[in-house]
Amino acid sequence: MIGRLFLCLMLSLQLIACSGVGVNAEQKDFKAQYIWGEGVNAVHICNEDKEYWVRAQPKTLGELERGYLRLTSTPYEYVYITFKGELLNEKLDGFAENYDGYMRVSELLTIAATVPKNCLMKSVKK
Amino acid sequence: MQNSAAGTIGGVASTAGVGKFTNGFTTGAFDYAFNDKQLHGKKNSRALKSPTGKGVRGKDNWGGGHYGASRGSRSHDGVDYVSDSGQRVVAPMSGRVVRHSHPYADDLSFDGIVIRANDGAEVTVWYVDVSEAVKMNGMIAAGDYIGTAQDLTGRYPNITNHVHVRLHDVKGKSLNPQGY
Repeated sequence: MIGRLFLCLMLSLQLIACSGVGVNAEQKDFKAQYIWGEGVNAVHICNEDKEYWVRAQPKTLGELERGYLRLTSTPYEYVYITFKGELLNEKLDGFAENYDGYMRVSELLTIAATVPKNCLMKSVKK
Repeated sequence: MQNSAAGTIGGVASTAGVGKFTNGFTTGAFDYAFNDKQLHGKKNSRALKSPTGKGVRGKDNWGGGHYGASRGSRSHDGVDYVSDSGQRVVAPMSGRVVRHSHPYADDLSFDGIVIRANDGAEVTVWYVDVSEAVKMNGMIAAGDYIGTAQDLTGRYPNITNHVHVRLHDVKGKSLNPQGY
């Protein structure tokens, strides 16, 4: 009985490890300019020439959207965010097709109206 | 106000439409297509059929709906045709229905389809509850029913409801659906 329980426990741990739940080696801290609106939900990583479509859980998307609306008065202004996230290697669909890839934002750390001068936006391929 | 203005533009275009589009782009009595020559003064240019029978979304709190409207560092890749939530939506051009397409990967409730013309150009129509009658890989003619317009105001409060139409040529180059 104890042996069977132990076996089940080991199997469960192995399944969790294989699925990658809670473990992500590619997770990094990013600083970026963020833009949101109808047909737009993107981050432009500071001092890079890439712009990524944002993917996130509903809770995080809600935090981004509410923060963005609180800080902006006209559509399609850029704000500054810091976040934990990772690039996703997935086929782009929808409005995201015009971007350089998907960026999963797993945790929004800060959001501010003013973009620091050291966070430049290099031109992107449109 | 913007709705009515856009609707009027669409109505004028519908009345004035001459139905002389070429290369398989059909027009008919039930045709709200824009006469691009009249709108843009370009000879021999083509225009896609408005899928809602209405005009282009004017500027609201969420930006403008015309091709090339500002979207931050980018521009609007397509045209937004004003819609009433739940209204019928028709195909803007003839071709083969090649796939479903969702505008937002994180919200699959918004739907659409991609239609490929004989010359390889692809038109994408978003914010449509696609009818089950629309068969993937099936042929469709401009003006055929494809579904009903979706309501965007839950996601974007006070936005002018619309159907987004995007046109890319066979090489993937963006084209203005109102004149190309």
